[in-house]
Amino acid sequence: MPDSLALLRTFFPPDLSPDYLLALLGPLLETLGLAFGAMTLAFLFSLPLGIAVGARLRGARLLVTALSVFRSVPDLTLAILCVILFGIGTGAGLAALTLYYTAAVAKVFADLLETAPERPVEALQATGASRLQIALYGLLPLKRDDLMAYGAFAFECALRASIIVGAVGGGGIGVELAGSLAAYDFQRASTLILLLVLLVAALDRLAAMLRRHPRWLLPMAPLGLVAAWFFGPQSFAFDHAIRVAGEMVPPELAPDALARLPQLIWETVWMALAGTLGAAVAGLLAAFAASRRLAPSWLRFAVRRLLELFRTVPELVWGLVLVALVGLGPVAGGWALGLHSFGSLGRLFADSLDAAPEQPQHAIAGTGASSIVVACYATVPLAMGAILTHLLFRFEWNLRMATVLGLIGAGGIGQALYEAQQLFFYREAFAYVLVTAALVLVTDHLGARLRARIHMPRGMRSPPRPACNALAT
Amino acid sequence: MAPTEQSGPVLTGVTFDASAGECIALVGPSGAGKTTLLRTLAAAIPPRGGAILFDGQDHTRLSGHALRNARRRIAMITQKHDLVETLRVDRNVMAGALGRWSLWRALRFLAWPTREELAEAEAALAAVGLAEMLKRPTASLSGGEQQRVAIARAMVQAPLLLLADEPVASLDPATAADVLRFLTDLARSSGMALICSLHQPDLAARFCDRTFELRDGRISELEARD
Repeated sequence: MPDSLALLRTFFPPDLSPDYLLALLGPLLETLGLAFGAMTLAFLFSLPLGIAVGARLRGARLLVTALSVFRSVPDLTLAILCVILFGIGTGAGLAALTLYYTAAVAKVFADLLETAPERPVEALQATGASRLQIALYGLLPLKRDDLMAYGAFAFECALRASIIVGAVGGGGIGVELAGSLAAYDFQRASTLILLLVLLVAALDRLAAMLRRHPRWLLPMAPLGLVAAWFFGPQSFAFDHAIRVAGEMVPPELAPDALARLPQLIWETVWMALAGTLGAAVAGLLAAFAASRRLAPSWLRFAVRRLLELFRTVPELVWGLVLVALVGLGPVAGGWALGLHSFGSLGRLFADSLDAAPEQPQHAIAGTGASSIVVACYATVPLAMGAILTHLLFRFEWNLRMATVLGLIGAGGIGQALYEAQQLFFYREAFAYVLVTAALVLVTDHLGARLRARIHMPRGMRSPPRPACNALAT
Repeated sequence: MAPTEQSGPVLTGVTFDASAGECIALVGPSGAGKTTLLRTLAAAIPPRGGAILFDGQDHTRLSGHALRNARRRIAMITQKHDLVETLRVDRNVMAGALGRWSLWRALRFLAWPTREELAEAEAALAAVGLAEMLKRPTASLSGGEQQRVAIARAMVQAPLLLLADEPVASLDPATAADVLRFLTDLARSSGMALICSLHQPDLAARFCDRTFELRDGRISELEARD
């Protein structure tokens, strides 16, 4: 511990020299370009796919379903695959983000367009319009607002992902941060972390604005295309990519790697479990202090700002710092997930406590019970359904992140994948990608089954699944 | 007395008294202020002026511990039962005792209820015909059953004054008569005052000692029918 504290001190003061700050403009632009470029491409690809499904064109639904395989692979794991195929740089990051968000956005667009009101569509059919005409004149205008709203949300997720995609060689600030930490240049690392925190805070504001006015996405499209042109893979070395892709199949694990697999899976699950549960206990305590109903305003204000600080730093950044502080392994990963989740869960739990139906709480207060007893007998039991739902969603998310944190040295499947990639063991790397996807799918499935069993009291709705790690501040 | 919600006066010049063991009905059209009056009497909302003398003490002037002590002796049953659905039935019933329990006992009961405490909950449930529901999840009970659990909770509270806000609003005529008979018998036998709001003046006249009508923000006593 004293060693870690001494190491922590070397992060201060951050390097704020004008030369260094000026040198960061390039990576900063890359990060923003990645997000804008990838999302513009993802929208361009997914809108026709969604329209094709809405227009009931043959094979379209199958294509979107097939694409959804990519959603079960965490975006950073996809980035590793793209680094293998396109080489290190923004091209790999852009390709990974485009692939991931095309799969995600196409599915939602297809679902939205399929559920358009039937009457106007039938009226268009009666005019003899073709399926594509019906989609353009009926489905799209009918669902325009929903499409825009989801688009704004997906854009926010992509912005956050673009910040960290560099950590595995996908370009942008992430590359700088991983590089600084690897070179023990901790003062510059803390400058970069500071920059990331400011960037995430600014992006939160932008995303909140876009959620209110989704139409503002449209003028961003040309900007996104320019960014995609600049930051896309500069040389599509198809021969190389196809050769490498060929080397990945069939996926294969050597007997010793196969024997180590249960241990790797356990490390990944342990990381997610420890991080989620630790954050849940601390988050629940903080939630009482951050609740509008239970805490005085000065305490609420202080605790809410603290929670904001913890969740503004992405898990991967916590991970990079903690790996430097406590060394390689799942302990750093567990802490990284825990620290970020503490910020998210604390806020979500506090909101759940505040959303608990009021009347039963008044009834318990009416028996003469003190406010602590009212919290124990009414507020907490009533909010428990929402709290457990948030907890399960967070565990599902943290499991994805645990596989990703391995890529930066936090152990588990991710680390094995990273090592296989570094050693050019492509069949092994692909096998780990498949294991990751299976692990994510199984956890999501189990989570969905458990969540379906949670009882919500009257007057309280089940919280929706967060589409990404985004949490409006 | 002028009980108020935030938007402005609902009732003015409301003056009446209730004695131990007496059953009083409040009737009047929807929006007349029956619920507001009951909530004011329960010290859930403060009146803008006037006094509410309860057992010789003006509870509009109380706060903190003293107010909690006063509220302990006033139980309220509402139309929507206001149970904590996510707690088991026994927890909801014994919530009536929270005002007289220490913090430690309240916390302990959630995790480790004693046999005596469960017996008390069961006795209260037995009085409303639900003894076998003791350990059931509250959410699994029907609306009528939940209302009886709310009555059992009020019994455990052992109040001096029981306020019932439209206790029979959603019940069929036969069940409504049964519930009112039960509440008035309970009040008379245990010596507590009962004030309940009703939509049906005939039920009020049949079961209650006195009936007050709320109309246009004023209160007036209706003549008893023979």
